[in-house]
Amino acid sequence: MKALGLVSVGPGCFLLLALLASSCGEPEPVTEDTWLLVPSDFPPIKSPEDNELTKERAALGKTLFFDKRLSRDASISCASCHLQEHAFADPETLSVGVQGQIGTRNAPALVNVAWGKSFFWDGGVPSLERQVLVPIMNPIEMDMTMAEVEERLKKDEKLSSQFLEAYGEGPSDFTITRAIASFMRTLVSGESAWDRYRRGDESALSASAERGLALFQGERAECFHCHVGFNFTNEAYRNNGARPDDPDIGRELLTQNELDRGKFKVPTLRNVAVTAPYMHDGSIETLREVIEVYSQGGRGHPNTDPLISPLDLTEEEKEDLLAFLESLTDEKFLSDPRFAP
Amino acid sequence: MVGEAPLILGQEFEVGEGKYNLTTLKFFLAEPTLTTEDGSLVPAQFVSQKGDPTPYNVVLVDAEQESSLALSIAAPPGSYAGLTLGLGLPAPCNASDPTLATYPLSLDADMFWAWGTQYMFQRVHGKAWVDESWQSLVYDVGFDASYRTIHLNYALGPDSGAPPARLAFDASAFFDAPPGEEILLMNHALAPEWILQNLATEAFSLAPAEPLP
Repeated sequence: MKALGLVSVGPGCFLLLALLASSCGEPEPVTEDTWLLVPSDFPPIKSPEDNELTKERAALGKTLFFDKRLSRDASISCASCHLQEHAFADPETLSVGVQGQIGTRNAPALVNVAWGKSFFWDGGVPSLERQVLVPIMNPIEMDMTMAEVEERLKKDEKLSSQFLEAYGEGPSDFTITRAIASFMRTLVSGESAWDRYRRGDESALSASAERGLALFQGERAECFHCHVGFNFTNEAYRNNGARPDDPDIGRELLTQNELDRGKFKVPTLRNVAVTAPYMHDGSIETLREVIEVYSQGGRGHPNTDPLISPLDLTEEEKEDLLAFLESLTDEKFLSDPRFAP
Repeated sequence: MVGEAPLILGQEFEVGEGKYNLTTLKFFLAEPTLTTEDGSLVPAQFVSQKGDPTPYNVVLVDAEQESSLALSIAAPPGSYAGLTLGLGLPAPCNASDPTLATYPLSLDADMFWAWGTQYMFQRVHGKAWVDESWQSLVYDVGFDASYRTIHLNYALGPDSGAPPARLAFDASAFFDAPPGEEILLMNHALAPEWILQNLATEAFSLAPAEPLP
């Protein structure tokens, strides 16, 4: 049985670590001073050398995450498309930018991105810091230049002093991207029913969810081939065949390799029950329908991954898989005041 | 240039049966290499007018910035038979973090690609006369797969006896579509192969430096 513990970074950190040995399974309460909570059975968070994760940087990043001045007409912020109650995913089919411009993809959930190896549905960005630039500068999202954002933020004395405290310098493309990335690294989710179950609480999963887990991890449904590890993703790119007429070529746009046509990043399944709609284009409305598509072996995209084949799941098996996927919801994460404006 | 005439931003010009008016013309050149008489390659370095090495060995040619139109290359003294240039950015440069990079890979060069987090290799903006009206023309392309090299045969170097060379660029390359190909008004992401082919084989030329017409 694996011991549970949360690594809390904040005052009393060393005391907490000492307590872990004798208080397995007892999550520490979140206090005002707690700004980062990482389950002790998760890998440590690694941040880039030029952006060590600190409380001040994460706090600044949170402020910016909710700041609508980052968009041209000050109508949207990062949080407009990344809603906490939806695990920082977007309930809209396609995310909407300034002046109602509709994008081409559904904004993905922001869950445990601290461990991500690439970002966006096509994995075109190698770091959290660099991904910050994309929505801000994209004409159909926030439609700003970083120079314009910098100019706006510099006029805010209180915010400028927050920048100074966090980075020793004012707003710039460097500090703005680093701060928002820092906040995103704190978006850690590891307290779902499934987590409690794997840490020893056998009552945490229903009988149906347990059967769903067996399906998920077994060769019957084979979900685990891609949705693997503590974060339920192998960080790879796959074409699941869900949309045969998809005009979005996905990863191919970056690699110019036809073999990558229609491939998108395998997403985490943590909190998946609250991140509808599904797929890169939000084309599947419910999780039940997603399971149905996999059961059918996709819908016939010519580049469908060889791992996708008809499963012919029974109705009970579909319900069991659904129950397991719902057990991945971390209710605390969805309402944690540390992530709220 | 457009054909034999100078290209002037904001002024109409014709290529074939098409009529155009450009407001922006920018592109990266990289990795200059000289070829000796015996065919061996000698890496060279873009340098500023003061002789300082250009960051990343890359230059951004911008038709709006006169200073960007004078290119200098430093190489070991000698006599050379030709010049090779990279059109676009080499992969390591294309993967740069623009918040850490200096010009021309910094954000203020306005060549960073928000939706791909790489760089645009060429940006051509303006208008095209289509269906009896002017319509917007946007050509923003990049990606590693679009990187091309240009080979130009020309005697270079102080030992060659040739005068300083003028590198001419013919913007017709963007509009001179071969039979069966169309000129797309909105070109985001990857360049059509025929444009890359035109750019690599026909658009650039070296000639003795003379006053521009």
